[in-house]
Amino acid sequence: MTRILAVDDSPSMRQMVGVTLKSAGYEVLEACDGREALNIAKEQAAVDLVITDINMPNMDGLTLVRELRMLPHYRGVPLLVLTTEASAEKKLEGKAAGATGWVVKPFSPDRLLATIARIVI
Amino acid sequence: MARTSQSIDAAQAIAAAVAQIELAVREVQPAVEQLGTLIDHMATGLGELRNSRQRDADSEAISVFPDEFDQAVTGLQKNVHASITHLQFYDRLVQHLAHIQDFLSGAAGQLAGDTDEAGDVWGVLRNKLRTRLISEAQRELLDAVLPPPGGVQFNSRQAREEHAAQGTVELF
Repeated sequence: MTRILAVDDSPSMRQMVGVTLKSAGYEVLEACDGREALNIAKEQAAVDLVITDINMPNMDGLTLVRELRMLPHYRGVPLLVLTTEASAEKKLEGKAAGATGWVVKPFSPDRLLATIARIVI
Repeated sequence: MARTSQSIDAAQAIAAAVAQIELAVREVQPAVEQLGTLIDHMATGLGELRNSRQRDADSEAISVFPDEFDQAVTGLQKNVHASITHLQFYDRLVQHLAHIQDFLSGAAGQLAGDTDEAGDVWGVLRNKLRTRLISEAQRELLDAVLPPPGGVQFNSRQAREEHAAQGTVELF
């Protein structure tokens, strides 16, 4: 089963992402900030996709993306940013950090699932 | 900042507003959590309905020739997905209010003379809020009502584009 790590400091956002992913048959792991997500990524054997918010305490989402890309087993894992930020500058920053794609909140479950189906092998 | 009777009154008034915002968010939280749980249950129930149906019939035929049951399930699924989208606006609201709360708390602290910081403390407070705001529309509103000392150039096009971008997906 495809395993997805959802990272957001908001419990309600984690819940909505989780409901969306579970309804499509994905296994979901949750983290409340970048630091917790990085620990999970280092300790869990395999995560097929990471979906992360940007603005979070302890470690923000773009730092998480950079840190994950430095882990050998995460170089090829798709990393989606899910954020309210929609500026071209921020997107470029995300792309430079190593993000695979950018989803602007509030997300549409149909679009999110269609995107995941495209990028997760 | 020298404390005056007026600045202490203003600090107390702002502190009262901060407390009211906090209470408002706290009061609504259980209902919103319940709403999230209900959406979760509906999504799970729909998945079970689909699975039970597919066990009794040819799944390929269902996808090609959906009957009333399948159409009803598909309609409910759309409603669940729309609920997920709309509930996210609550999250935006809470984030926005949290940043306003922090800003107001800082302002109240300054007025009450609780901090020893020197320099442009109001500018620092304002910039901190501006950085933490989560959309260009919010930053534009701040700039309009509380402009920085050097003034600001408005870019309403950027805010409109950002609004139009909600829900979009871009792969790099």
